Amino acid sequence: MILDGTTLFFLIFGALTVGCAAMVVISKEIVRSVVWLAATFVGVGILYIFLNSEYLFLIQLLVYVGAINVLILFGIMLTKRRMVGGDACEEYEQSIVKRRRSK
Amino acid sequence: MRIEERRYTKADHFRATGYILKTMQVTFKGAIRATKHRPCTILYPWEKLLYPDNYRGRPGIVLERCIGCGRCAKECPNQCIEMIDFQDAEKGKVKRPQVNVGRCMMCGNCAEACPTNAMIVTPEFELASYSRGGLIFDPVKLQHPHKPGYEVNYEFALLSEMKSGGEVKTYAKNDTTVHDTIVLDGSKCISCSRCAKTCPAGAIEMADTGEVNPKTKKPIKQPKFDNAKCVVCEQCVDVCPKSCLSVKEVL
Amino acid sequence: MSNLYIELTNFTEWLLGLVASILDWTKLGFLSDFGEWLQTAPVVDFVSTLLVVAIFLITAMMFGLCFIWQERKFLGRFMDRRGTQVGFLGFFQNFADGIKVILKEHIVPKDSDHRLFELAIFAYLASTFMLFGCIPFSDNFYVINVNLAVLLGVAIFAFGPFSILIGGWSSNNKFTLIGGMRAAAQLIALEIPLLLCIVSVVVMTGDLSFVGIVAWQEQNIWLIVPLCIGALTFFIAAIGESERIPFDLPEAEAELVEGWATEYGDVRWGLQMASDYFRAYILSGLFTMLFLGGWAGPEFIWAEAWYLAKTFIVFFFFIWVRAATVRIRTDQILKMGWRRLLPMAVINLLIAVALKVAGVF
Repeated sequence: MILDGTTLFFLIFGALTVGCAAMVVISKEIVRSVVWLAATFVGVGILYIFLNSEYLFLIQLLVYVGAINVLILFGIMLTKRRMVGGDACEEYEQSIVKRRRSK
Repeated sequence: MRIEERRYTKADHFRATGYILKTMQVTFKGAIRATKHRPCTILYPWEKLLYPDNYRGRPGIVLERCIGCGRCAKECPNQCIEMIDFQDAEKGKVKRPQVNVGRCMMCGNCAEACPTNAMIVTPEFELASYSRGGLIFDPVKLQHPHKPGYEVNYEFALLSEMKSGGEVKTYAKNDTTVHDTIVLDGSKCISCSRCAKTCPAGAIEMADTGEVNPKTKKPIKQPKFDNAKCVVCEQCVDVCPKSCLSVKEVL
Repeated sequence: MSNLYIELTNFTEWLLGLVASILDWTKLGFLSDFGEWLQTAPVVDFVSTLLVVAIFLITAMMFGLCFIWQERKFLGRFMDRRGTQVGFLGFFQNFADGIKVILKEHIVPKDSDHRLFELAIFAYLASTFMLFGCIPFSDNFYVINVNLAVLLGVAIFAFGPFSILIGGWSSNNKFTLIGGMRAAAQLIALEIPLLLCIVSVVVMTGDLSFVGIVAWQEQNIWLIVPLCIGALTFFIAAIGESERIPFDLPEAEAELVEGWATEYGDVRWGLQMASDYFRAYILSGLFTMLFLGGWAGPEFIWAEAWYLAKTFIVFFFFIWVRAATVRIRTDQILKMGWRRLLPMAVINLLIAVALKVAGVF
């Protein structure tokens, strides 16, 4: 396998994209997930550049990062937290309190 | 028409557009005027507004006229005037007003109340200081070159004259014929003559009443008030140990 | 003026040649090799590009500062006052303000999401500074001159609402959150008419690069004449997009302390404040490019001067609208964006297509 510059960069950005996509699932805070999702979209866009389609890259930025992400954020912020299963911060605080009490 | 009943019509939208164009026209005219002539603001530290002749800035004092009656201190609404001990070159140790300008509201009531027009209002208003102590003006610092317009004079009419329906005269400030008078309750007086010693205007004289003290065989003296000199500072009322003096107001 | 890139490539070649000769003079083998490597084409390209970017960014920021100064002075006259007074005609007030905000302490709210808090403002500022590069001053003074330049600018603009919303959320403050929501809603609502107006221009000129658009307008006609509806729509949407009065809902001082940037202090806030003006400058530059013929004009002064003069005039109208109008309500702005500006933009697009199909241009 020949590892020239283009392939190297492609591999780096591909790995970053996959990592960001994994972080979307892993991260606890849902807004952070959206930020990771934005990073994933940008990563996918950069992969488009390696396929010599700059137009698609720009449209990807415009539509996904600019519009879809903001729509998702709107959806999150207009949803009650109770509906998706309690406040993550509250649970976290309560777990800290429990730990302190057990000590 | 109730508020809920109002509905936007198509014409309303065009009216709103016209409104925006109108405001744009007005502001543009204003901008042209402000550029052609000058804006209505002034460049403060370099330019100053012309203040009117009767502008009341910080209070000032003409020390030669002051008799230390303390009426300014009594009149001050913010109680920023205090009578302090002052070493005068001619009169020795006297009381003179000291003004805390930081608390002063520049009402000019002190100058209004002053019977000798020693307290004046000056046009000074730039009084910023780096410390609070710098804002306390002692009598020397309070001095200000005097100009004819600085003292506050006023005219007044008597309520009783208005009520009786006759001719209403106006009196000038410090008209000796109409000001308040001090009344003596002779039965309480013990002839200590403190009032005469205190009086800043020298209006009290200890005069013989014609009676003789049966024990000491000395003539009994009681204060006598010279209304032409009295400034109604009420220091005698304050100082009287038996509270036999009172003020009778002119109404 | 000759081309900035060519000038600076020559300069860089001379500079790197000088460095290489100095390194060669040391008579050390590896340093001589390093000097030779410095003179290869990719290094020269890289260094000259850096120089171009630095020069262009500084120039554009200086003109951005001029815009702030212009706004302060003109708004002063509109409001019957004088405006800033520091230095020559008040020009140095901006620098005084800049020094002030640089000296401030950086404060992060205790319960905020620290990383997103930092990330959001950097994303916002980075997108603003990237936008500088998208707007060429003339066909010789530019940073990028690609075929998709217009689309690139619009794509970078699309980062704005996202970073604003993230910044507003991560500050953990109700004012910032409301400001962020408002900003995002407004920017999304006004971006679509803006894009459709750009599309109509692209339909007319058949080119997505600024150089092509300006060349077309130079040959035929300034596009504000056939596309006057589009120009008006673009103007209104641009005021909304740069979050200026009457569309300054995200930063309504009377309601939300400082909008989505309430919790930001120090130089981040200063740059955020300045970047509002920078974005206004970029949008008035876009307006000039798309509708007023860019740098086209009689040749007795430089093309760049034509471009800047037109941009200043467009920005004067921005200031005028700001002086004349009051802030509108959130529902009104959305209603206006979706129900008025969008149909206007579509009608404008129809006109552009009709003109193109009829073969007028």
